[in-house]
Amino acid sequence: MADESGAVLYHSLGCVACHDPIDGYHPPWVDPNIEMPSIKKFGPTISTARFKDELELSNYLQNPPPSKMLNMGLSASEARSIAKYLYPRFKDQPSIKRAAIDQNNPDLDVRLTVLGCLNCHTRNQKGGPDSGRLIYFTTTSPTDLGEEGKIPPSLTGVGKKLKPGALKRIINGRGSVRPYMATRMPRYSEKQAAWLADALIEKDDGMKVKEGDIFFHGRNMYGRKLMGTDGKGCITCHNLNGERSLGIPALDLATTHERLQPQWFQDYLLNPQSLRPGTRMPSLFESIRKATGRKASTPYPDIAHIWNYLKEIDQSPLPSGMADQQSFRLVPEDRPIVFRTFMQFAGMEAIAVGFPEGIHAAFDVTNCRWSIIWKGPFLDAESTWIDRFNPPAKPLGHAVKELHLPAPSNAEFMGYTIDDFGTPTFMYNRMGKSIRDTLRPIGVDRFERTTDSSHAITREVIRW
Amino acid sequence: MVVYHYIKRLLLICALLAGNTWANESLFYPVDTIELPEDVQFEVSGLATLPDGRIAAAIRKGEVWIYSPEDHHFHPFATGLHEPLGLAYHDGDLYTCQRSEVTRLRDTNEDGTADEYLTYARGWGVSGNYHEYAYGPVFDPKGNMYITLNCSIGKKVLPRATEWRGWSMMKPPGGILRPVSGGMRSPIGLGLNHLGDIFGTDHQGNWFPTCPLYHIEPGVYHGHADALQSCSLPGATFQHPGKIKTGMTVGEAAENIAPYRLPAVWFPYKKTAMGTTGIICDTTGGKFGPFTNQLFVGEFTLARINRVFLEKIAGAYQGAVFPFRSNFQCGVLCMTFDKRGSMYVGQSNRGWNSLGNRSFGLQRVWHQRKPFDIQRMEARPDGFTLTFTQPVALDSARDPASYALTSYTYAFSSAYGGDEIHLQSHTIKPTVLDSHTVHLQVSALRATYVHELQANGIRSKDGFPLLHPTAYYTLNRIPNERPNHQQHHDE
Repeated sequence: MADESGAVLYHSLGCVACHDPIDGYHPPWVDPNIEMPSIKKFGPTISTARFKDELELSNYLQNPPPSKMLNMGLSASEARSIAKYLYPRFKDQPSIKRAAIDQNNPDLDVRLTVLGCLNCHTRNQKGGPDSGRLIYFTTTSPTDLGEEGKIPPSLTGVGKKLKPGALKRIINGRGSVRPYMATRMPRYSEKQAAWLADALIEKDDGMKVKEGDIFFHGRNMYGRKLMGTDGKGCITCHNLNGERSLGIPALDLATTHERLQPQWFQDYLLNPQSLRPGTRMPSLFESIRKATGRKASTPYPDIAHIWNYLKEIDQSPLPSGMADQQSFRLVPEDRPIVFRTFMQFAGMEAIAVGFPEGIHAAFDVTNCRWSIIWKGPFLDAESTWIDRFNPPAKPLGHAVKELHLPAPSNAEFMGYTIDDFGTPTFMYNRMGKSIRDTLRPIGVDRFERTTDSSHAITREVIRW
Repeated sequence: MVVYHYIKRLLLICALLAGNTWANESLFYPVDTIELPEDVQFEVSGLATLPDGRIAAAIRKGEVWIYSPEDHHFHPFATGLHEPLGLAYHDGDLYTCQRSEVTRLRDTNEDGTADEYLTYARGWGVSGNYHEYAYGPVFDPKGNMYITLNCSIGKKVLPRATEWRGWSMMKPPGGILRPVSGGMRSPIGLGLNHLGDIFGTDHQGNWFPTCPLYHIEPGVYHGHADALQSCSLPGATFQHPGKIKTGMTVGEAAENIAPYRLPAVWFPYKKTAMGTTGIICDTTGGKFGPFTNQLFVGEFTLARINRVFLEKIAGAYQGAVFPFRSNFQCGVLCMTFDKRGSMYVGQSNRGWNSLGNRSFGLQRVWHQRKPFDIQRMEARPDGFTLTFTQPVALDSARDPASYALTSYTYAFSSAYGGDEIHLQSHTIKPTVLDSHTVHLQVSALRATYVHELQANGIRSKDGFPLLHPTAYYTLNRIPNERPNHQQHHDE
């Protein structure tokens, strides 16, 4: 069993990007009827002769000397499993002494080759995994992302795509945004990562456009609208801030602001195919660009809105389609909810009162009266809390009954008090008397209304 | 010790010479970010310091929270309010202005949450339009309560409910709410100076070529025409000025339109502000640095705070705007000073956009060391007097090449925002008055114009450049006679 796990790890984590797959191994994720393709050699032949035992090999795999092998960030148990798998198989293979790799070649292309980057990634039509190795880029669970979601991304123009910090983190093995992959990036040292990131950005002429230049006028709330199902529908495919998309689990866009250079983000949305040939990402803005005849360098407000929304995503509500539609619903659980808003039937100075019993009422401050009562769900706060054009809120439930108690008269609203149970009592002066007016549920289908008019108390039951 | 000071100073010089302005600002006025309660859209729209040192914060979704700086604990005090945009502590209670009323919040059973939501003032038009914000309140030393009302922009649910939109309102103790001044557009900021006079800030847009800070006084028209429809209501404090002719500068408008009054200062657009917000006067007695009695004004879009020095010339306020602190995490809405003299800064950018990378939050600015800045810029019959916060290098102060001065004004127009017009540069003859003060004799001062000073060549006695070398003086009036020069500087 342990032997089996070593074989799976060796063939799935990325070892076979440099070393050959081991003869006769047929990965469990490949149809047994398919013949495994032959692999031409990338890297050195394995020999375990110089290691005393499995443990020594395991230690080596976990902390390889930088000039000898890439650090794959193996855990102790992964390293042990792979050592257990490899050690007996290559014990008798003669060890070939090789010169140490010069990992500090000042030429970017040479260094990308020496460091093995081009074994997995392409850059300017060079490199990339050969067809035999493609099969070893595996996911931890079946994931419908096609090849573009599994094969290491192209490095062509990467210095124009990723921000320096993100690029460094990724090369340093700390920046994966594909949590579903079994295959992993080697961990290059921080020094190496810094050199590569700077060199790539310089070579690709990146970081030339400042965020403020093209995204200054973006508004969070419009971006939210655009990303939702009533906008461009980004969340149909993309995960967002840890929430699953409605369809395929394409890249979580919460990392956008942290990872991407602003100009690349805009260029990509305008024409995805030009930057990622073959991508499934649709051209959502291409038609606007063509219709207006603007250049790609001009600001596009919609893209700026999306950028600013993503920048603040962790503090922002999710877009429509993804947001739990209940999330703005006010649900009185233990105590009544008192909520002041613009409201249908109750005017611009409405105070809605929702009771845990499931019957609710709204007080109209302008006319000092209870204006409606209803049953079922209470109220949705979205129009009050989020919308820029806040339409009057509607009672959510059913059996909406206009009450209009007391009858109209000149009255002066004085406010309300909240008792120990959370029930409000409204206070107003009417015809020279100060009145305290309270609705309390009796069970789930009736209110008792108490009015205290200068200490003359009347009670009535309202059933509907 | 000597070596230590030498290194410290060297580091400071390196930072000042190498860094950009906001990095430098953080050496003098660091900013801390307050950790907020989880799962709350903590869009801070009002702040008030309680007598025990805790900070009360109104948030836009309709709540008031109380923060204890000692244990970093937040607890909810009031809920269910309709977009409160301001908070004041007055005579033992908290007051907040909701969309349609000012509410006094009381905790009578002392369980830490409000159990009385008492209507303190209401009676203005609420048509259901999104822009109908109501801001405040602020209580002056006499107990008069002030609020300001955004004008309605766009679709209304109740088209006729526009009473007092675009006006400031005041309620004296025991009295009723009444109008004070009109012609406001989006008057988010409301605050007192150290003398108890009340000021408002507004937003660039129609009728406002850029953001103003105006003195709120009875009978004053601030310039936005939407408010004029309330001139026919009983209690209006000025008459409808009739048809407004086009093609005037703001200075000419002040001469020709009887109730129109120039703002105390203009904030030149983008250079200083794009949406001015909360106002707070430095009454910390020096705990917040060398700007005692000056006003700090929040800025929404640029996520910063500006500083305003005001003086009264011929009975009216005017003065200078200086940059103060930039690079907040989000648009600034409101501020309060705590007991230690540090400034809490409430933030939200919902509905608009701002620099920074947060949608909302709460930060604290505190004074770490005294910056080398222009402490004040005062108008003189023939120019300006600058007072620095620290002794100035005399050769740099004496050198005319250390300064550049241009002036410009704006058109009085219904257009959305306006350019700087009639630009002119001036020559300067500096005379050093004392270690902190220099007099600038300026060619051909222009009344009603903004005078923008660049003092890039000035160095402190210790060799530092000014933290903010730019000042914008709104010269509504040129003083007639030279007052006796007094030495104002704090050592």
